[in-house]
Amino acid sequence: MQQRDKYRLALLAACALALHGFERLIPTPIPWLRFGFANIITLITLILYGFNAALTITLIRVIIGSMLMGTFLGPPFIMSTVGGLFSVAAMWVALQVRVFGPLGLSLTGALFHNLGQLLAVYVVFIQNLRSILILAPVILFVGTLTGVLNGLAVIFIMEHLKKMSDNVQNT
Amino acid sequence: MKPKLLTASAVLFAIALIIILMFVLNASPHIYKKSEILMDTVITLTVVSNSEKRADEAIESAFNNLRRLERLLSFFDAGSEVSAINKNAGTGAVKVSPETFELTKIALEKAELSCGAFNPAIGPAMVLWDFKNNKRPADSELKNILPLLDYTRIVLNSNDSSVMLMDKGMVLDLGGIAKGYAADRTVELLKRAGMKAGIAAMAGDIRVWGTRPDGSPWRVGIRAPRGTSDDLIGVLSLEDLAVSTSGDYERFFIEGGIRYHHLIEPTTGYPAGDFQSVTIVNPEGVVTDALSTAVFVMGREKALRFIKKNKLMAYLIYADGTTYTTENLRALFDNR
Amino acid sequence: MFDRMLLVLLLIITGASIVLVPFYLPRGGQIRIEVNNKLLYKLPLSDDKTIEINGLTVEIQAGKVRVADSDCPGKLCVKQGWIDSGAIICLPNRVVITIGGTPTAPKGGVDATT
Repeated sequence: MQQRDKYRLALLAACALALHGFERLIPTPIPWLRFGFANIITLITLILYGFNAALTITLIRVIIGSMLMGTFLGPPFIMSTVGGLFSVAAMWVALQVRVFGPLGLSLTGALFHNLGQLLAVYVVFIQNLRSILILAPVILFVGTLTGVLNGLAVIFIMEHLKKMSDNVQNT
Repeated sequence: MKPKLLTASAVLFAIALIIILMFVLNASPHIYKKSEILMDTVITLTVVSNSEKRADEAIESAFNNLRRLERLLSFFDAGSEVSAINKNAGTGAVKVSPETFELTKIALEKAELSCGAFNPAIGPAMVLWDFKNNKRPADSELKNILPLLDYTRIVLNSNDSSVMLMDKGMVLDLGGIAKGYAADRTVELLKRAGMKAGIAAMAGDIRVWGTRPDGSPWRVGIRAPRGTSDDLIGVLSLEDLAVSTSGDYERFFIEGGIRYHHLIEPTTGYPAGDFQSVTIVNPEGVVTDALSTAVFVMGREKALRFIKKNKLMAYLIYADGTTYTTENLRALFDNR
Repeated sequence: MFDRMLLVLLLIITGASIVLVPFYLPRGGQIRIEVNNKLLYKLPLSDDKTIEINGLTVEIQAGKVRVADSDCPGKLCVKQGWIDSGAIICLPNRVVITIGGTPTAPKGGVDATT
């Protein structure tokens, strides 16, 4: 990996971390509802730099983020780690299939992020299948909505990045 | 960039948001219910609410208020205000809370209205009749306390909100009206907490407001006096009404083939014999609670005149098992 | 194209599941046992169990609950038998057993009894 790419990854990880912290400030009607804005960065990294880079950024975000929030190795940390890994893996697979655009990738990411979290909650915390089964559709539904939002953001950013690089090449 | 994709996604997103909003707002109302043992009986509160959390909070605060009322009004709790009034019978006036004062005042009004058939000064007789140990008092004992059952000797002073029993040995007993009053206060509290419908059931003293979630009236069963507690003789369909039943099967014992029950006639000190049960329906719980007892002890003739004069909604089961439903209650009453 | 298909599919499946899952899920209620209005036990209805409490023998079996025996005089709680919704109340022992999490169908078609 070139030195320049390392800088870029560090920058992207910082962006992801910032979004990760920032979205906690947005009041939501349901307490566990999060927008998952950090997934915007993960997805862009995945598209531009591939699986390893996206995985690195996710791990940096999860670990540093939990340290900043004071939840390192706690329940929220386990949940975001499992969710983050699931989501990166799923988006990478979806990218290989080559039929999805950023929106589809973002939806896949959101879906598997939530599935991973639900699995973590079930295995690690509450072995109550009933409440998880009742909660799951709601979480996945809301996740689909935030997935759309993030997907649109990725489309928007990628569009701009392309324009910028076009401009650079043209001059 | 494909603008079409963006537009289509945005539209879908909006539709989805509307759908989820509908879920949140139109969450169908559910029935929430809780029972506690208070005031020597089983109290069941039922509310209709969209939110389990709000329902639980409302029910909890209603039970807290009931516990407070119990501490004020209990006949058995030595620390209650009613006990304080009784301890000071013949010696002094006792300053009481607004609730105790208000309830005593209402009780005296109902006593006046029923010519003493409902009697808040019935205490000395209730002390003698021991339904926990099935013990019958001697005739002479009862005769001796009859002069003490004079409710006109309960004196209220609204200036300092105090209650005084004028004669030594008098015992204030609000047991015949406290549960109806508690039902009224509870419905008031639950309504203020935003519960649009429900039931406050203090055992047999029940007040309902609103309707069931499906819009139909609440259904309140009337116990068959000689059956088990599950056997019903009829069902009332009620909206925003209270109902109380006084029955000879609630607290009683049988001795020598005679049923002795807790509905004591104040002029004799003995259980009244003309009815098996009396059910009264009225918008107010204090009215149904006090007047079901009053009508029960009045005896047949007087009871019918009293019901007619005051246009009460009543369902009567006579001692021989025959029944009578007043005209104004028939639309709400279903035979079983 | 596939993106939109995925989106619509996800919305339909998850949206429908929100409504359908709670509907089809077997009723797994919870039993609450209160003594003197203090919650002492909160048990899943699915675990068979027998508990002795305040003179009562409470039996949970096959998603139902009953008071098998009681030292109270009337034994109304014992006579009530097995229930899978609603409540069993023993007034003398001040015990209230309720099955939560299930909509309580009115007993005998009525909401209250006077």
